[in-house]
Amino acid sequence: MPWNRFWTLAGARDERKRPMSGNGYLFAAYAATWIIHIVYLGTIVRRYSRLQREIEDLKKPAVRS
Amino acid sequence: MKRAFPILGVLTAFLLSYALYQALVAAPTEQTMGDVQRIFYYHVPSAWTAFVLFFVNFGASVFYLIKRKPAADIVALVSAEVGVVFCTVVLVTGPIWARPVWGIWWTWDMRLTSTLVLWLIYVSYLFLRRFSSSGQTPTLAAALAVLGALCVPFVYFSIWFFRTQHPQPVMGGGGSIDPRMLHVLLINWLAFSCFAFLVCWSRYRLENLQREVDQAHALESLLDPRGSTR
Repeated sequence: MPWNRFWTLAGARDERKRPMSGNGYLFAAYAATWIIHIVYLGTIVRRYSRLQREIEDLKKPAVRS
Repeated sequence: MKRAFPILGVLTAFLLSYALYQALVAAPTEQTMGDVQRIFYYHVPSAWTAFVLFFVNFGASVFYLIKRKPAADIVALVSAEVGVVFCTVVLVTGPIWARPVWGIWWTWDMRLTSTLVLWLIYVSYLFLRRFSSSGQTPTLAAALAVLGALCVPFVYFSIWFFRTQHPQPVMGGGGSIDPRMLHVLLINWLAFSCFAFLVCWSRYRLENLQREVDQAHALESLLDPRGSTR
């Protein structure tokens, strides 16, 4: 089965057949995922705040030069 | 509609927390890779979500090319943007998983390379939308999106077409997976899909508002062509 081929490939690197200690990599992957999403959400919030300021400016009466 | 957003937000937050618990605690530990395999519960659902968003982008772009509805253009833009975010997650978590398992961060394998090309196509789509000031930008972007979408099935099926180092697909590829792992995988996909829908919804509202403000600015400059200072 394809998954077996993959596990064999992975297992061949560890001759003692012990599970890899990958907590650091696991933490890094999950943290990176949420950092990417939070940074993107931050850009949405920033753009929304800027738009709100623009809307407030549009509502103010213009001072003619 | 105004109440639906916070309700869906709370439900999504709950679902994401539950999915995280399932991925880190409830899912069985894989015998060979150990805990590193749990990266799979974020990597694969992110890839599926990105593919769905790119297909939404494709559908909205085709609809825009036929009907010229601005709403379809906004849906296309939003789905591409959020799709690129999810595709970025795939391209970041993949190498983090590959390092302990394959011993390398990256290889120019067909699946990895085609995913990178897909990401670059949609990033160029977003650059086109961001920096082009031509009135034809939505049409050009829609045409690019239609071509970009052709890359999605190629990425998905690349592991059938070519000999690759990337694992075979979990579903539909003849691979086998522990039912408990599949359950956790599907919960995570559901959670990320809800999250993507919420983000798209926020981004759609923002883009609508942006276009209204742009129209108000245009109207203001028409009414007062000499310009005004505040």
